[in-house]
Amino acid sequence: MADEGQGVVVSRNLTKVFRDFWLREKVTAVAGLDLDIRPGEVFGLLGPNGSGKSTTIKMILGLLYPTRGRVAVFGRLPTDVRIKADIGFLPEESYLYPFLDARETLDFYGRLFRQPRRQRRRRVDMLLDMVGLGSVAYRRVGEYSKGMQRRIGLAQALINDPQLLILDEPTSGMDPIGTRQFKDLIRTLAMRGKTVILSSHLLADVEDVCDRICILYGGRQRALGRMDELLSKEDFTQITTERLDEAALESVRRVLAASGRELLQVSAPRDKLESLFLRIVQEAREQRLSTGGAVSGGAIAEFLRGGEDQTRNILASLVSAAETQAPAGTPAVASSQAAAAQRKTEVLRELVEPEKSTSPPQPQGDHKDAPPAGHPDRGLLDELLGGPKSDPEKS
Amino acid sequence: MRGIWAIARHTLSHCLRMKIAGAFVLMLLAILAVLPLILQGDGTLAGRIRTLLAYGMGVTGFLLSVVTLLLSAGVITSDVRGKAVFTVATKPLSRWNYVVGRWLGVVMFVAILLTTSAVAIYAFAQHLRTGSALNPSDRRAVETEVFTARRQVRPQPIDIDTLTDRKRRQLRDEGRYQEAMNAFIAKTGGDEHKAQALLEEQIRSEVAGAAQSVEPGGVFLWQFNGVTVAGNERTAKGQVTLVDEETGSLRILAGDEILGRLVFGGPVRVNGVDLRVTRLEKDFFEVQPTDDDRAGGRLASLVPGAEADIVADPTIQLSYKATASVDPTDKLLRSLWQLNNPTTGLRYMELRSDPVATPATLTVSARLVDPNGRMDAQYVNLPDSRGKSTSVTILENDIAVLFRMGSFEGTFIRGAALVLLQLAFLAAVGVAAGSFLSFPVACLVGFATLPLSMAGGFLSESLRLNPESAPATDAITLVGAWIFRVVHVLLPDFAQTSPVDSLINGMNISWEYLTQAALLTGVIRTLPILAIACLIFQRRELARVQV
Repeated sequence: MADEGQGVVVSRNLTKVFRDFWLREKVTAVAGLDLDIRPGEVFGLLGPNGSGKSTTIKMILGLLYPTRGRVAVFGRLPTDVRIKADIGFLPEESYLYPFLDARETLDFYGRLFRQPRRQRRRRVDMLLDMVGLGSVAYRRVGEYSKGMQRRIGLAQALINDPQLLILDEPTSGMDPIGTRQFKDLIRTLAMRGKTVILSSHLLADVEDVCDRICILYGGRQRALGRMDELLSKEDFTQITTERLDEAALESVRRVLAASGRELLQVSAPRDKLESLFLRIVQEAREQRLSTGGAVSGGAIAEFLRGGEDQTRNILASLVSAAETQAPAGTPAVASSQAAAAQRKTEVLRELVEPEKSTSPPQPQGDHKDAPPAGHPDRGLLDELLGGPKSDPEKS
Repeated sequence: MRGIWAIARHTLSHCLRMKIAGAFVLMLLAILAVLPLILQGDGTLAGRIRTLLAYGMGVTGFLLSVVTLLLSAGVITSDVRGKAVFTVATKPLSRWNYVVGRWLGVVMFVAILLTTSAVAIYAFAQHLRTGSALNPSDRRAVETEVFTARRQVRPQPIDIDTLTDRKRRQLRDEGRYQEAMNAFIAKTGGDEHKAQALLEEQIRSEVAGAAQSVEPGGVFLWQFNGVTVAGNERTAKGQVTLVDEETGSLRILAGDEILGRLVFGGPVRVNGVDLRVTRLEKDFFEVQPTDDDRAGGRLASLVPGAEADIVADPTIQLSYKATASVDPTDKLLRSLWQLNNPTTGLRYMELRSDPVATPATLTVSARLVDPNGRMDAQYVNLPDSRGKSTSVTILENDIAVLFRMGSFEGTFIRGAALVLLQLAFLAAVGVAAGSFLSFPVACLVGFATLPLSMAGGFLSESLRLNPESAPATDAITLVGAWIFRVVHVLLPDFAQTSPVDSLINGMNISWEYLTQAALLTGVIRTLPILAIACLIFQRRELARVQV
């Protein structure tokens, strides 16, 4: 399938029909799916129950075989053992061995990657810290709560620092802390050029992290594209400012009316429940309240931040000064260590991939009168703010 | 290989953490502890030890077979059912690595259980060995027929074909052949072909019976070839402490180094004279010279206080079982045995009174075997105490020369290895069934295999069709026979490779035999089954419909 581009995962007319005992066609789980998942992108597979998300993932992994069509991963068949060294997979539930403890579980999967003992131990320690299970590492996985099992499941999917990470309902059963850390992790991996395929019901999760999504229904592709393309409402502009009194609002209405626009909605923004929850947990942790479950995870494992090679050490010394100048506004729940790690990663990225860390892409095309898609009319904004009307081309 | 090893270790770890391991060990220890108490065998110490070995190894083999089938059927099916296979199959591990690793893990686990069992059985057997024997013969049996490793050589086979030809000619010359033929034709309803087959079978049977029987006063003669004697003679000095003037028996004080080599009823040379040990104690032994020995004056120097030159030769045993056409009144068969070295002419003679149809053993010096491994044996059928005689039969398979080839421990270990080969085969069957079937069905397949393997040879033999005497005509019999022939080829015959008979009879299990069994059971039968399991698992979809 070399003629089908350089996609990490490429499928053409991928179809899976399940048959009954008498080989009669029972249900078409996936029908004619064409995918081209590119390196470094976070790709979301969305759809209601039974839409074919898991079936697609299982065909990508070689756990199911296509009835028609074909799929290639890293340019090879999914059953090819060679590609699996670069794949990490978290199934829809953490199908682990209940008789093993967390450390043994990760050690077992590390062995399957033929990792040297020293590297395996180091990675196991880092992953256990990362998913917050270091203190219960010697408890049998069978005794873990569902969320804790998800965490250890996620850790096993990352033990090989995969190039392609496939996550089926990854935040199912995970608490908001784990969910937030998980999203941070995906962002970090994506920044390192890893490809992530994410299947989820939780649309907020997908929206937060995915670059592109594919929406399936009845096994067929219903929508495919970049997140901002699919979600942006180009006919509307939203402004957030300090609280306005009725007089100010009236002024705004007048200005808008003068431009032929209408003020459609005025509301006070609410804090996100996620932020509230994380803040409460953070306070509890600061009060050192005990818990028998998973603790908040630590920093993203060093090797997942690309930190196991010598380059990392050199670059780390180079960015140590830059770290102090990192922008504020790190997530409320993330520990200072995690935040520092995040900043480090961003600076590292700038150093390693300077071409990608430039300003946001400039609008293209010849639309000199109208603002580009997703950008408000600056002239109108200036008027609202009481400033001079500026030229859109200079904005 | 690292992938296989990782899966094997994981499987072993899983099995060890299951309660089945502890339950098995407890059950085994309970059985081994109770067995010697409830099973006394024939009342002798040798019998009790043989019973322990037979039932211990039998119970161990059976329990481990069940455990092996349950585990091997479950290792893959539980992964598939619990979907843990999703996380394993998406790792850089070939599916055949996974299947072989699972199989190897189960084999490693049952090997640990087998080793535990074998050590326990061995320890119990050694414990019993230190118990008191019923009599000196019992002690000799314990030491020379149980805790040993012997090889047996059968006599030169009887040339039945030549004897049958001779008998046929004789019948023809006497004109009785056609007469018998007519009788058989009438019996078979005019089927000449069948009648001839039956007559030939009859002649052959009569000839074989006659060749293995001896009339009163008659003589059997056997020739043995290929007797290889291990070990050298051991010499020591002793001191005569007692001479019984009435019976002429001598008591000789000797050290452990020579006493350890002597057996009750076995040979010993004192001052160059071949004698038999009639009593064996911790620090002395007694011999009973014959009248000839005394008359010859060769033992004249052996007076109380005199020094004796003692030589313990390596020994061989002649084992036989005689039956009578009519049992003597005292149920004892009297005979004279004469064993000869065909090269040196050295001869040994012994008068015997053996119970009818009971295995008996002569322990004699290995000097009766010539350097080419040959020895002649002669049996004279003597009249009983009342002067009555009966014809005696000793079948070809009921007489053999046995000689030590190795240690009991070596045979015990190789015997355990034979059991492990059987278990490895069963594990392959279980894994193969589990590679595409659900756990209950895989168990069913496995447990159907077990009795067929244990009695496959017998079943196949039972259904073997004789085209001459009983041609099968109905389809069911033909299909059944064909199925069992196939089963006989595909499945190993556990009865044939069972070490139990060898262990209880003190027979050696050679490395050659073990290698042969490893080839037949391991390479020819187990590996192909594993290969099939790998092929099936390679092609199957590991996930199921969920829409």
